[in-house]
Amino acid sequence: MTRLVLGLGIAAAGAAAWLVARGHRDPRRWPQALASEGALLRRQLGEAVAAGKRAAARREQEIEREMAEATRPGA
Amino acid sequence: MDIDWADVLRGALAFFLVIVGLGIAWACLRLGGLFGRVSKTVNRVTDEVVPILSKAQTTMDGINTEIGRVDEIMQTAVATTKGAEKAVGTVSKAVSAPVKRLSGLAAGMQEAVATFKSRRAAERAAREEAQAAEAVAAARDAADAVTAPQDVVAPAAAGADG
Repeated sequence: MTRLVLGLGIAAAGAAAWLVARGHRDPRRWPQALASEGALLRRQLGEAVAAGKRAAARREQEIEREMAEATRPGA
Repeated sequence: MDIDWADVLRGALAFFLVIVGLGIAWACLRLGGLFGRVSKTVNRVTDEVVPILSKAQTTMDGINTEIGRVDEIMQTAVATTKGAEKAVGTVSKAVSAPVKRLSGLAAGMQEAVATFKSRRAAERAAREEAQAAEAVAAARDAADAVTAPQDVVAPAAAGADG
């Protein structure tokens, strides 16, 4: 129980520090700031994941092409 | 003395025939010797060639046997090569699929991290710029608030003096 309380406190303190570092210094606006920051983070993560998927597909196609060229007779 | 030319002609003909007969006999003698030597040569060549042909036949049989063995070896080599090619293809497919996935995953993670970092940096720069603009506006408002009473007081004092 103590660990749980300690962990929750550390998490809350970390979230508060993060919000303050992000420029949200008014604690009364922290719920809205947390929501907007979460939405922003989700959007950026989604864009990063999409870019990563595109890069992975591109790399797989490159490797497939290299393998096909390497195993082609007379290459 | 009266010469009978017919006797002379007969004598010359007889002499000529004798000479021709001697020539033919000599030619036949030489021809017989030649035939004898040719016969000996042919016999000798035959005696020498037959064993050579026999040996050549033996050699050719050996060569044919070796060619048959080489053919078998080549067939075996071709079969082995096909088997090795099939094995290499199978191993290549089995190895390349995970490698391809892993490489794609690594490239994707790298690109995702780079994209996320760039997005965060751009957003941070925009936020800091907005905060700086807000700070400048707040400072300007404060300065206006400090200088405004003086502007109001100054005209009033000027009116009292006049």
